[in-house]
Amino acid sequence: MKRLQFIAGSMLAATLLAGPVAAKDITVGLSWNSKTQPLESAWEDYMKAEGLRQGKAAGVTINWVVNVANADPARQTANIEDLINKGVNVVVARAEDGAAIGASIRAAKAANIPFITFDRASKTVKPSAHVGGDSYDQAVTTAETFMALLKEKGVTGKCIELQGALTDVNAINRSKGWNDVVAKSGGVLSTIVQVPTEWNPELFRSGMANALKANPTANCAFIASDFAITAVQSAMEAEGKWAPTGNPKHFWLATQDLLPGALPLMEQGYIDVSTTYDAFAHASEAVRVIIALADGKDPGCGPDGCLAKGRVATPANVKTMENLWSRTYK
Amino acid sequence: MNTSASPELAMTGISKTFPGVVALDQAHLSARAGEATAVMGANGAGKSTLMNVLGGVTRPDAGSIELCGTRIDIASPRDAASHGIAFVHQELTMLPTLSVAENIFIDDFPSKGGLIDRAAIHARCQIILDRLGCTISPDRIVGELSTGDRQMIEIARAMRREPRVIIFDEPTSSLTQPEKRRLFAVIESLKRDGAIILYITHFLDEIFEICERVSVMRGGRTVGGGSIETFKPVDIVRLMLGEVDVGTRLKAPLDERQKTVLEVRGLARGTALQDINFDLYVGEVVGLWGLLGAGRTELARALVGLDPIDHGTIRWHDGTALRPISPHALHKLTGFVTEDRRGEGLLLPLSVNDNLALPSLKRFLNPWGLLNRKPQAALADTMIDRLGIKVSSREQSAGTLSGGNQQKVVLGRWLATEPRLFILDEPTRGLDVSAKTEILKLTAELARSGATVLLISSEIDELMRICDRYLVMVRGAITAELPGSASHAELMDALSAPVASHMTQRARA
Amino acid sequence: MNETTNKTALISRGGGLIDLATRFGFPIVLVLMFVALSSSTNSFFTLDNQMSMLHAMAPIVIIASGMALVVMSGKLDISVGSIAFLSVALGSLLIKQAGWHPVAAYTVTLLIGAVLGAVNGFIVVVLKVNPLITTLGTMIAFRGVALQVTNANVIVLPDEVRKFGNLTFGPVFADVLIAALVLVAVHVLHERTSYGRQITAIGNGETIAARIGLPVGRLVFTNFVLCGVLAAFGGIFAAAQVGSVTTFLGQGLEFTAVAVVVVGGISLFGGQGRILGGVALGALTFEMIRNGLNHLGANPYSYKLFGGVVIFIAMYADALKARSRKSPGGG
Repeated sequence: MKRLQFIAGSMLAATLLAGPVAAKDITVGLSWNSKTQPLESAWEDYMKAEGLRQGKAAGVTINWVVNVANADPARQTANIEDLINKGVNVVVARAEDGAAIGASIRAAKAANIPFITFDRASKTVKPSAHVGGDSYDQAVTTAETFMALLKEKGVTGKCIELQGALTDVNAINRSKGWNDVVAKSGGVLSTIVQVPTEWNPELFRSGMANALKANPTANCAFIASDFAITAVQSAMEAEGKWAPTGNPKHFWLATQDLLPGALPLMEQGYIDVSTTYDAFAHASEAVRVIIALADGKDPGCGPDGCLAKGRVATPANVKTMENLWSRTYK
Repeated sequence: MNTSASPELAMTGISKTFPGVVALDQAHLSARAGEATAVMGANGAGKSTLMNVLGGVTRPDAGSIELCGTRIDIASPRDAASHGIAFVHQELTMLPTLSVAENIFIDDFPSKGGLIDRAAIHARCQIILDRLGCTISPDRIVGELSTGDRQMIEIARAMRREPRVIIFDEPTSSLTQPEKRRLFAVIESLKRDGAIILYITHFLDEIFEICERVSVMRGGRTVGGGSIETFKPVDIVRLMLGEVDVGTRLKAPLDERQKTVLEVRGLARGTALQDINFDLYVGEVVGLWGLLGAGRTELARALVGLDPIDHGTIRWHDGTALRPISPHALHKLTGFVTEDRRGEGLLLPLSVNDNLALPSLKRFLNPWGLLNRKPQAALADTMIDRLGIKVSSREQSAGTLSGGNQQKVVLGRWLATEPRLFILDEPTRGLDVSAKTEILKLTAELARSGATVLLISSEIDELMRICDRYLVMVRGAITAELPGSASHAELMDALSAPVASHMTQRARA
Repeated sequence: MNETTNKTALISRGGGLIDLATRFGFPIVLVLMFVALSSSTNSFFTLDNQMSMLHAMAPIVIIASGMALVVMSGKLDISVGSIAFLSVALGSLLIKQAGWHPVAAYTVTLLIGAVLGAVNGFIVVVLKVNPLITTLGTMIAFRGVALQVTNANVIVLPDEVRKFGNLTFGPVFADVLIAALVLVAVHVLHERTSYGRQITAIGNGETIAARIGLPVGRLVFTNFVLCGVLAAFGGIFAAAQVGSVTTFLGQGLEFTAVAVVVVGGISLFGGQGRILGGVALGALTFEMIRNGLNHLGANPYSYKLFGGVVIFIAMYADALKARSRKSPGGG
């Protein structure tokens, strides 16, 4: 009995001792600014799952040390300090404050630990890599699919563009992506009116309502984010333009993000095209970059960082799309 | 009138102490229905506190109030109102954006089903206005009315509850002559209706015109009173001011006049100042003697251009001859000191040093326009020494000084510019006895060094200790000039003489 | 003598001109704007668009009615936007997470509005803090609490609530009728009740009102509570119209509400102005600018410039009026 205990104990000790020094193990320090929204849970779960999958393929084991700063930049700085002191191999952080995160990046660099900013970029110090969504590509893929759809239906699209806040780089990228495709569409698509919404739902509603009244010939819309889709829905219902695809009154809708509120509307055929704000793609890209950096390799990011592309969703494919956080996390 | 009956209102043994001050000491007051009782007293005599006790604004420490034979307890203005006591404040409490009717009923609207019964307030308001002989429409917006009309509305509001007692607190101070006549007519009609009128004023002639009784207060006590017929104006003034111990003079009166420094002719402003003529001579202290509201401060302010003047010339001796001078120019040549030390520009957070140098900063500028600290400090030290200002150092902040020392800093500031004329308006108010004496001694010294001083003080003993001459003011006019040797009685008589002569004229007419 | 009469005549004539300009200036500008917009676009002057303008105005009319009461008493409440957000967010969470019926949940929203208003009232009346400072503080604090309880998430409202927010009777939206009812009720409260007249008295001068014997503290407190309830009520419609509660709910609304009140001729100095015409006129002015610029296809950011100019003119007119009130020529 005693012998058995000794063997078990020494085996345990051996694993513990061997753990940190094993070349095939990566300890990732993951710092959330806050973790209250479904999106954040989705990110973390997908990262852990992808860590297993990609880790196996690369022959490494990824261990996660996670902490949460409850939306407090000072707390996040202290949390990352803890991760550095613990000697993690890579730090991944979603910054609460894009400026304050610079201090943590500098501290990690001083300790020779690679630092990945996730979703929110640093405005001050450049990290080892940035992983986020590709908002330009998001708009382009939506617009191209939308163009193909209208061409197939023989419709000439006269579209209302509901823009985001023009101080937001994502909003600008999406508008640019959309209009770049429109310019090359050979007349299949045109933007007849642009309505900035400042990301304010009330302006989504009244802007859409006014645009519909002012432009009775409009038959399609590009909506820079579908977080406020209910506001657009209200405006369209008031104008009698809210009908699913197949109905003669159907108004063609292309949106961005496909957030939980918009998913059922696409499933019911109201939204024709959307490119996901893809938590799975972000997480997958983050794990790829983690493995590369831990191995001392260049992750090969573009000038804006390693940007994960979203997936194009339509009523035809949305029901079978895998790892769609909007469906799983609500 | 029922002069034989016992008084309907009797306040007895009323005492009230505020922190550090005994405001009322066993004061009493009685008044009868159908009569107006004047409540007289100098500033701080306690008449406002007594009226505030009656109006429920102030709770007394001791004493009792009886109204029509029943003892009543007044804890709040609401209590006072419920006992039929109405207060017409000196400062009007009108609401300019509301209508006349709304102003009158604002604290107690008659309503029907939760909404104001407009017809009812209009009708009731009309009745009250008619009773006051007031032709203003109840629907007029009060903001469009004149001061006199607003006061009528104020009285109308007081009348709403059919009050038994109406307190008028200096009602005429901002009224024109016709408005005053109208007010007196209203008071007469209130008396006829059997109201008890309490009338507070600084104007002696008014009480002889509309009051039947008088009650005089001094130092928180009731010092006299009774039917007005048994009083002469001079008696009331004497009761108000009291017999004083003049003490020794600080300075013997000058016996001969020197050169004229200032000559004032025909100075006038509205009703406040009427045809003022006087001269001031080198090296004398001239006391401007009168009751509160006589126009002394107004005269001082008009002389130095703080208030505009309608007519009149001021001439100033500039060293060679008397030449006309504007009040603004005179201001620059005059040391002007009042009881309001802060208002006169004493900067409390700054040091005594900086405060003293303020008017003469230009003298201490070096060629680069920067301040030369050394001569400035020397000046401050000289002044602190000369005036006996008690400070730990010249860098002590002015705000931490006592009132007397603050006043000395103000005086010292002017001394540094060496003016030939000082106008001192109640320079000793609020100071303790020894500080008062020191300020007076300084004043005497100023005169001895060749400056001329025009001194305003409500305290007769102060004036009698240093004045070389008196100018007596009553109701905006200079009514007499008395020599420095004038006695206490002569000064008192001078105040009431114009009122007395006015009364004899009216009696003859 | 002759000279003085001339002078007073001049003053009163000048005062009359200013009075005329300030009283009728905005309605005239509004009519001109309306005519210009109607003739320059095809879509502006349609029944449909007019109704949609009124629809967009409804929440702000309700919130500005409460604000008008507070301004009438010479105070200010810039926390109305945050009160709307917090109270509606809590009510909506009751629906989404606790499965409450919307009517019950939004009744609770109104109660929460009252409580938040009472917090303002307590700080102003009992702790004697300046209303602007008080409500600046609670504006930030209430919004902070709301962000905390919603996790900054979008709360998608059930379809029946969204449908109600855009319900119509004939061409008229239901919330327009409700806003009109609220506005008339507040107007009557102000003009025809003892309460309304007494808060106006406080706006004339708080110390005077206290000397007259009005229960100033109680009235001011009640006024903040009322304003809180109306802020919550307006917030319900703002959320119902867009079908969701987002962090944008009520943002900047406090300033729009103040601007509406000022443009409506209700003096920030207190005690002056009429609520029915004032709030309707003010809200219409801002909505017409926004809607009109939209229909003109103008750069929508010019809305801010236009709005700013209108607010400035209104404030200047108010200051002019206040000056002419103080001048002796008024007598």
